[in-house]
Amino acid sequence: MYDVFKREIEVLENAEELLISGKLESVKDIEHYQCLVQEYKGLLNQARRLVKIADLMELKLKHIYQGLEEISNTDFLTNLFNRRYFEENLKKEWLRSLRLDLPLSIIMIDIDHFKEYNDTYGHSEGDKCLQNIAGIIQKSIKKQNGLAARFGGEEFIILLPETDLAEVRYLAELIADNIARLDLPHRGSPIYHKVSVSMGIASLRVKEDITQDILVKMADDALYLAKAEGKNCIREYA
Amino acid sequence: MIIILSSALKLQLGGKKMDKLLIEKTESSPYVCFDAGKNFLIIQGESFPENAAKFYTPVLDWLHAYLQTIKQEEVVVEFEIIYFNSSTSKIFMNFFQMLDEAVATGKNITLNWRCNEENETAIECGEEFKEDIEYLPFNIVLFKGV
Repeated sequence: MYDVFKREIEVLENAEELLISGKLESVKDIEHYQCLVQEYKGLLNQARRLVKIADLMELKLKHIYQGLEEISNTDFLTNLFNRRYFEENLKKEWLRSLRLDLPLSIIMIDIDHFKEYNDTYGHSEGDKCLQNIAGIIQKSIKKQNGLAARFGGEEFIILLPETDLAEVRYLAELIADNIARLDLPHRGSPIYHKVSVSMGIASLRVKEDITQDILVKMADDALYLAKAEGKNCIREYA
Repeated sequence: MIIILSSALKLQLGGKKMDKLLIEKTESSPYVCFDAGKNFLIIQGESFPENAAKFYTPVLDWLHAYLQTIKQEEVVVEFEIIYFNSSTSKIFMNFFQMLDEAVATGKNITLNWRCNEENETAIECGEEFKEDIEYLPFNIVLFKGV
């Protein structure tokens, strides 16, 4: 196995060879040389420990850095990614889709009558509702190469690379079904007194003359339409 | 860096006067309080000064002078360091070496390497430092919380 102190070991071996070679004649010289060799050995061991300690410290810093990175990318309440991380990835995926000529899609989700939910059950229950919906979204896109983030208060966004309109439609239906199956009561909502969501979906093939904000705007417009048309539904950007 | 050498704390030890060495903690350097009167020396905090040799020169000088003054009295040295850079670890080794040599000549010194029980890095580093010394009683003391 390679030793990082290979050269130092060679120096020690050479020094020990010299000691037994008989080239050093006087006893005093031999003793003096032996002392130096011993001291060098001690310092070499110390150097090994210093490097090990430095490695331990660096590893600790690396772990701290990873932890901070995770915190800076995550929405504290829902554990989904945060908007900043979403925007960063949208930019990356936009460029990749352009380079490889792949479709790129977005689903925007808004919890219906969420203000009324908070008013009825209180903010603490409102937070739990957000966590439940976030959990369903995360579970629903598990098999997809998607990135789900909390976009705003009660608004979520999913970035779906390499996904066309047919696939994104299917996925939005799946999320709606899973939320309906959750069967969360909502006394303040006129929609069956249950928690429901409105969704806007948009899909396109990336071109050079447009920017990534267009896709978000398209999904947002579709979501606006879903809300305007009675909520608890999915609308596509057309 | 603030070094307070209080003349009121001067002590008569072995015919020599020893000042208390007090260095306030900064963002990159630890709190140092070496009290010759109580035979209690403590270094606490983080240590990554831009120039570690410069920072620790008065500390090592004080220790060197102090070791000349003591005889059989019980001396406790405590290190409670969360994070330190490579230059600091070399200086710590030199520091422990000085204590080790003093113990080898019959002085009564104990070193406590104090760390939070959850700080595995600090514990492992303490074990490495312990390996490097021969005579000095080197205790790794774990504590909970801060």
